[in-house]
Amino acid sequence: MPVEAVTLADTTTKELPLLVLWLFKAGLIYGGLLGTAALMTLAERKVSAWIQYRIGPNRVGPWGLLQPLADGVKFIFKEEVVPDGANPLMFRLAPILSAVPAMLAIAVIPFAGEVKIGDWSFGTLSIANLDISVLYVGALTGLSVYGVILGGWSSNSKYSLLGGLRASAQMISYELTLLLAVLSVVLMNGSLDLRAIAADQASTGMWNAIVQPVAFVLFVIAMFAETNRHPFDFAECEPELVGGFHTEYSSMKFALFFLGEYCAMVVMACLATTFFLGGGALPFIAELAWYVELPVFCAKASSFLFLFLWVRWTLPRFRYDQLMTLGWQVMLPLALVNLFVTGAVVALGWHPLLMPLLAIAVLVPFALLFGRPRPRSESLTHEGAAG
Amino acid sequence: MYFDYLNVLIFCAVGLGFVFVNLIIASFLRPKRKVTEGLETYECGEEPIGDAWIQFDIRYYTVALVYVIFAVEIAFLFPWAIVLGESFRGTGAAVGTGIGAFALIEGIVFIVILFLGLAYVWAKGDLDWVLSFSGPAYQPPQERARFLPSVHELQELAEARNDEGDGEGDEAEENEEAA
Repeated sequence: MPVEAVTLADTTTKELPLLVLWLFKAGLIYGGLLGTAALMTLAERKVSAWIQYRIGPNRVGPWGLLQPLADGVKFIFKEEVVPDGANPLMFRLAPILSAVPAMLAIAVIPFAGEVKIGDWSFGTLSIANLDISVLYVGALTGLSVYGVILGGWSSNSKYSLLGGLRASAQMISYELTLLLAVLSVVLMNGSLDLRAIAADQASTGMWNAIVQPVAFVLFVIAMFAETNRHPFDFAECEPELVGGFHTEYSSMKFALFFLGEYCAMVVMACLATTFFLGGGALPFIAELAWYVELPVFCAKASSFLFLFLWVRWTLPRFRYDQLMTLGWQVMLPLALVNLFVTGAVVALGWHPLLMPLLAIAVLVPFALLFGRPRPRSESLTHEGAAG
Repeated sequence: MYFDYLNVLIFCAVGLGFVFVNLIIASFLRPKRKVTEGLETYECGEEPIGDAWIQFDIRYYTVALVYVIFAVEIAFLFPWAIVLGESFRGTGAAVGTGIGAFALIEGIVFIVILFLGLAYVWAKGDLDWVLSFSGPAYQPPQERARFLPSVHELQELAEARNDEGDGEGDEAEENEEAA
């Protein structure tokens, strides 16, 4: 589906100078991203408190709303420790490599269409309208593994090394599934442009969550593993590895790791919204103004963000062998088969709604037949060093 | 179009600027205490023995290798997906080139070959993180090695030496008794 290039010089509407507009947008999007990430740190503690029948932070500001600010100030005033045996360059580089790519991926998310206030036109509400934004996102999520592995390795601590290794193996395993799920979506909507993917879903009214249910479920599971969240948080794994790859980090460097994790969550929620829930579209309504699209988009992304927290405080952590089995022996073959079926459906010109019916007809009996839990004794005897 | 890449570059610069400004502000404000105890590697209060840069499990390398193969596969499949969609939907640049069915079959062959690769790694057991061991379970040795034999053992040894001449006959008798 072709998308018209945004006309930069329109005669009837007034525009800001280009550089001012870019910096303004960058500030706006960064503000939104970092604000959301900061609020997520508070929401994590609040939601965990509600789930565990506690009150949660309520001292700093009303309902503890200023808690993230207090935390940030505290991080700034903390002493920084670079351990004696560490590799100083990599140790300093790792937090930056963890935070920056996570933040950059938000640049291509289409939050809303053309923004017009009175005579003033501000272009679309996204930083950049790249034709290949799917590849851009894939490249940046691929970079996020560097922060973890370099942080774990450079600390020269056993806990850090094990945490970093585990996390990197996990992230690369699930990245394949993530990309294959995205590939099915690309095949379905016929574009590498996030705007076009969202617009295609909005125009046909069939969101990918409905016509690509397998890819949707795979994406959501892989999303948790990519961001090192429960039930896949082997990077940290407090009872086993103290803090995992950031055991040795303190002060602002630790804050950057933290920021990177929460920014990655926000980005993943936005991506899931764009890929599978039609961006800022509402069902049965073709065209929406930007001031409707933006809240709708934010509401959908927030539901994913809440899912992150909900799962974290509800499910127990996987074992490492279960994680690898799920990633390589269940999700990767399933994603490949899903891609295969999607290709066939596109080539034969069948109705897309055949996909969910097929998925239900095949996967439900399959799961009922083979999905029984393994007996405990079988998986626990003669266990090798798992990590 | 290329303006948008410049735009991403500016966005990147703003992000890096934010990170570095934070780090620089923190470096001015935080306390600096030079205490050697604090600089030790953390190991729950134990004194760390040796580096952490040791040989680790080979299976991490295997996983990384399989990842590289599949990541390259996926990179090749992105343009394939676009061309396939365009040729069968009748929109875009791939229309009229007659590439549709060919692309579909080629893609299927490509995926199947790599699927076989995954099946091979799977069958070799490189994807199983828990190593199974099918032999008999390990039994710790029953007798302790001692430097000197006990008096009782010395007596037995002496008796055994006296009986050495007709040892074979004794064994044959024992076997008959057991039978």
